[in-house]
Amino acid sequence: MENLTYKNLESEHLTLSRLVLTIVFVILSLAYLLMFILVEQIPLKIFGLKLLISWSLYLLIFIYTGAAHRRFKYTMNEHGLFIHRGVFWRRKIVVPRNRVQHTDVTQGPLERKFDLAELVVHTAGTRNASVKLPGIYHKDAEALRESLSFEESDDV
Amino acid sequence: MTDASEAEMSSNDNGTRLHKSSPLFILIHVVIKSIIPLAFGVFTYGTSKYSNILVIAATVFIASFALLQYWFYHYWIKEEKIEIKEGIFFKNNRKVPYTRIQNVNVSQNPLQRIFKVATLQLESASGGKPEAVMRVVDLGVVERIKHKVKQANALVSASSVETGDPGIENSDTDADAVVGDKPLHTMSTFEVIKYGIISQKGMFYGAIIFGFLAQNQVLMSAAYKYFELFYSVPDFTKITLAEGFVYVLVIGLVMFVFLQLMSILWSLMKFYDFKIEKQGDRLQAHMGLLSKVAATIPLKKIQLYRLSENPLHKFFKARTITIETAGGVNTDNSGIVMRWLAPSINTNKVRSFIHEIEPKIKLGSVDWQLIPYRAWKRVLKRSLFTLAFFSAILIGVASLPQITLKAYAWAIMVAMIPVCYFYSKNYVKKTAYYINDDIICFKSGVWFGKQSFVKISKIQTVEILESPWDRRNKMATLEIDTAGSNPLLHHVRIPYLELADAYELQAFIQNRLDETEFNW
Repeated sequence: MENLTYKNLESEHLTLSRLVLTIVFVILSLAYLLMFILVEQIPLKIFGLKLLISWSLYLLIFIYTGAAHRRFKYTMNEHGLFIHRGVFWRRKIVVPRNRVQHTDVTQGPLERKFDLAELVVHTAGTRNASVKLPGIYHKDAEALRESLSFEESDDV
Repeated sequence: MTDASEAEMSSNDNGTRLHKSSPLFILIHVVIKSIIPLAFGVFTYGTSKYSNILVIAATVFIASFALLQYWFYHYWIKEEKIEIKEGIFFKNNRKVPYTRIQNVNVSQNPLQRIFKVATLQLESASGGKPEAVMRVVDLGVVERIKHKVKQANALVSASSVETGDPGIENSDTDADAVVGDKPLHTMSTFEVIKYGIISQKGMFYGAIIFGFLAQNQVLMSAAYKYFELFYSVPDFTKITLAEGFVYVLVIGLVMFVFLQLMSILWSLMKFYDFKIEKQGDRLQAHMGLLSKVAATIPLKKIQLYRLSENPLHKFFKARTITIETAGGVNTDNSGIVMRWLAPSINTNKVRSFIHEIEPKIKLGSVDWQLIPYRAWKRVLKRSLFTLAFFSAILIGVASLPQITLKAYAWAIMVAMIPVCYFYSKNYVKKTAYYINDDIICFKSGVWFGKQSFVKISKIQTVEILESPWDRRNKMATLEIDTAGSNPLLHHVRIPYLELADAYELQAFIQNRLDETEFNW
């Protein structure tokens, strides 16, 4: 198991998640700015402080997204799908090939712009009923799905 | 068979309706679900003209709804499938092939027994909601559907051979012969009472009753007045310490007895005349005092076996065996969830009982492997941290009124430190696992011991979890996922493993999974 070569997610995935993060923070800041202008009861000092705190929070999440992206690794071989993820609490999941019930490839509107997709592997389990592998190219997701469902047989 | 085929002939066009008493039971079901909360609301918050009208209108609406539902519900028992048409505005036509039905669950409450009818629930392997719930049908129909399902499944299991009608008859009589065998486990009334005390379920219902009483001022004062008829309640602010002690003792005793009686009542209601027997590849369980429940559990649907032993179990020399099944977790209210293999079974019968049900689990040859001894320091740190957290709250609260209470809070905290030490030393002695080619076992629990057994072929995914503290100590947690698992209950989640051992276990399980096909 140690000699498997793990792949990182595509760098576009990191760009995308940071883009979404930025959009959310910009919208929230603009809303707060609007409130500051319209309501006029917030002192400038507090307004500035709150904005500073929230943008340092943004910076922390920005760094965390990078770490999470670096820590997310996957590989697939004849035995099944292997996923490593987590920054502080790390999880290493094995989804055996013959436990795969069915697979989905999903794509959101922003993901489509970057040609990214998410592979969702469904098992009969409970906590890991669906194992998600986001941030891979659409054609890779399709290929992974093909190779996973290759042996998938006799559904009841 | 003749009247069955006759019914099939006549039912070709319009199908069969549910039993004539069905609207009554639909009505009762709906009333319990909706009217009673409504009535509680009216009762608790006072009545007005409008609320009365509202209740009456709702009742009339629901009653007519029940009648309509009955009117539009038809079913056909066909050769290879059961067909159901229902719905008033949204028509629903459902066809369930007998081969897809894994479970036929029958339940009967006292009223249904008078009418000789039952609620029938057809479950498929997929899990989740049952395929069809028939409320309510004649007992004859129940037998016919059961028979059809049995036939169909017998045909599937002998699929390579083209079986004619005589063959089916043969397999049927075989199955009937098995029924005559001695049941795997039965519980006498005394044992059911014992289980009531072991379960302490009264606490749960007691909490509900007290919660309800505390909410309801009218009932509360009525109860208090009734109580005062027999005994004049003293002024609690003027009693001495000794008197107070006696009062606490008496009230405690009364509560204790009440909780025990509640527990016993619950157990009698649910498990009276408990019987479980093996019929070929499935288990058949019967139980219940007022509402009788009969459940079928196909053996291959069992995902996990769980053995519990709390101090009361040890006192009564008994164990509780429960299971998790795929498809047994029903969200529907009417779902009959069969979790018990044996609510209470004598300690020295456990081994042979489990072996009889699942030959691969040999309790005698399970060679428990303890988690590393050094883990006790981590457990101690964790428990001390929890203690500090709760004491901080306690001291914070206690510091408000009096200085003496604050001292008590500190005393409790200091007294708990040796308990934490004892706990962590015992934790590493009681947490263990065992794995071989067929099963994985895990046990844990310092005060309330639990053991889980999972066949390797039922494992879905294997996960290794490393917390920041795990990584500092080069340790890991191994968790396996199975179908129909309840994350809140005990399952195979082995903590504080040496990292290398965890990886080895994961690789071992994964290799075994390559070789075993999962089929529900």
